Amino acid sequence: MTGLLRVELTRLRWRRAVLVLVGAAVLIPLVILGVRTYDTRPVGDDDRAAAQQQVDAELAYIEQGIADCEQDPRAYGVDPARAERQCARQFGYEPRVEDFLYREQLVVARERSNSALAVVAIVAALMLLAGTTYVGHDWNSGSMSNQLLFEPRRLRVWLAKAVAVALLAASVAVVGLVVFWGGLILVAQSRDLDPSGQVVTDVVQHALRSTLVITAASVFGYALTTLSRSTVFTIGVLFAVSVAGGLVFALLPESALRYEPSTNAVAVVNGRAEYWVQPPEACYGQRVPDDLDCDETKEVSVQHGTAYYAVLMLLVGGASAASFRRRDIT
Amino acid sequence: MTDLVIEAAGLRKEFRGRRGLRVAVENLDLAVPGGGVHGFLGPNGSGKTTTIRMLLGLARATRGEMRLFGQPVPESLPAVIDRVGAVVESPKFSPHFTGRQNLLLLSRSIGAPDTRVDAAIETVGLTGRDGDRFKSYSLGMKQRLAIAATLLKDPQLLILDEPTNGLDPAGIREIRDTIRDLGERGVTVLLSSHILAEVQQVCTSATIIGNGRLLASGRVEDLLDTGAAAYAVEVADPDAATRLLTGAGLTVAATTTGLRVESDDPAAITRTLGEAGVWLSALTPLRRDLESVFLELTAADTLGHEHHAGADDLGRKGGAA
Repeated sequence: MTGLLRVELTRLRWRRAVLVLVGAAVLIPLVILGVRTYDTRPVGDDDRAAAQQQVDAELAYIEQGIADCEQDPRAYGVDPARAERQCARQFGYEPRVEDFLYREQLVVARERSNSALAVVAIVAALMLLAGTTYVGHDWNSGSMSNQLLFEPRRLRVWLAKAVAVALLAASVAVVGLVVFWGGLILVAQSRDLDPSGQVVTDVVQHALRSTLVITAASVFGYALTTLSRSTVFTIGVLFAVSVAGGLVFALLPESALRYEPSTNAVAVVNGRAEYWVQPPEACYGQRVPDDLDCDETKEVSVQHGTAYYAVLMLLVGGASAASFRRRDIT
Repeated sequence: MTDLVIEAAGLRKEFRGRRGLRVAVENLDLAVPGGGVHGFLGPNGSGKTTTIRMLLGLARATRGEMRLFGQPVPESLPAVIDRVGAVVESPKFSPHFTGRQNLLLLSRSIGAPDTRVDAAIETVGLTGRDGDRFKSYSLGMKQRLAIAATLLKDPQLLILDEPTNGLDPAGIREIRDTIRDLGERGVTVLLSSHILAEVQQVCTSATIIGNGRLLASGRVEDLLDTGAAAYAVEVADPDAATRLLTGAGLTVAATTTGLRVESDDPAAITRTLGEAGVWLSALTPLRRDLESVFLELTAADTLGHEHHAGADDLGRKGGAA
């Protein structure tokens, strides 16, 4: 089994499409880190000079406005008799440098449900594609039959490929997330915004759960493609689910929203997720029954999200392995 | 204990598709003795590749038993697969990997040293091109790479499905020599091929199937001796000889050198002509080739199959009525 796993890891390493996806999965967290670092950069002298220029421009505009108002008060709805005072009041806004220096501050804890979610979503999508293209190529080229002429124990082959994909995705996730979170924490420290020990612990837990989601996504892509034996089919199904899924959930009762894939994925990554429902009409009446749930915010727990995806993985993985074991190989 | 390398009994394979049930292999028995080259012949769609794929565990038999080296397959395939090399249909490798990379992955999956890849590449004459991508190979090179893959295991049984497809005459000869050489070295080769002259040259035994059923099987010599025998007859007066032999109930045809008389009894020919005072100058048995045996058997099978199909149709119609 170890030998077979090594072979599959080599096969992955030699697949250019997989390498491109891995490269993108490492690069994108870096890019998002760079964007967040830039967006939250401290205010510097250049910024102050730029803000001062904007203040000066604003002042010039105000002065011109007052002059125009005093010259033709009626055009500004001002009584000519009291033009001087009223025009000054109408343009009475006094710009300050601080008004042009607003900049969001980097808060590491807040990034968990902000940029980190984007990182996880993108890396998970890329690793899902890696799992799909990796085994899809075996089917498209017909080389799967050749492989089985050397190792006919099909479940072993299925498992070795699944473990190889999972190891790759987990490694990529660890590298990408360490780069992203490590970078954010370093940037925060360099700005004297040291995150507390609790925040760092939360970030580590967030990263571990993210790694789990990314790994599961890659194995899901592999399993679904092994089941369908077609990369195009898998991508088509995922596209259809992403497009039609929202429509289907819109038609279902609101209580079904707790089974929406994205909500459950966010619950696993963030530890919890919220969705919104319309409270019953009785909630808006004069007398609201005590036992009536009028809360419009509902929560999906990490346990619910994990169980949701565990069942999904078991169903798809089981069907994939069973089909691979039983069906004829062309 | 059996000395048969491949055995199959009552093998059946059904495919269920949109057009209903299709039987690709029906009640097929196969027995391939150890050593030598065994031809596996049949028209396109006769079930040769399906049978091979079932033997190798790539397709599941609907019914029947199969054994390789006396071990039941597919259950015991892991125990015997290291002794079996196979090329099934067209060579199937990863097109983006080089020839060497493709072989290395297969070789490492059975724990063989990488040096075996070098040896296999050299044996099939791909040295110098092994670093090129598989998709850039010609069909002949792809076939050679497939054969190189079979050599990675040092097999005792080689199953080759149309191994000379796409090869030029020199390549065909090379592969034919390799197959013959392997057979002489004790490797059992099951050779599925359309090139019957080639099969006749290299095979010691053969199985002919049609419409998924066994038509004939045995030593090539014995197969050639089956069916109606014929003799070349040379006489001074062919017209008189034709009249006499036809009158005796034999089938006679004129040839450039004399007559071709269909009979399995040469004494009847000499007696018929001798009693009328027509003396033979030559009487030579005409040997049939594998192609004519194959065509006779498969043509008869096709007619029989059509007859059966017609009968089935009638039966179905009768049942429906």
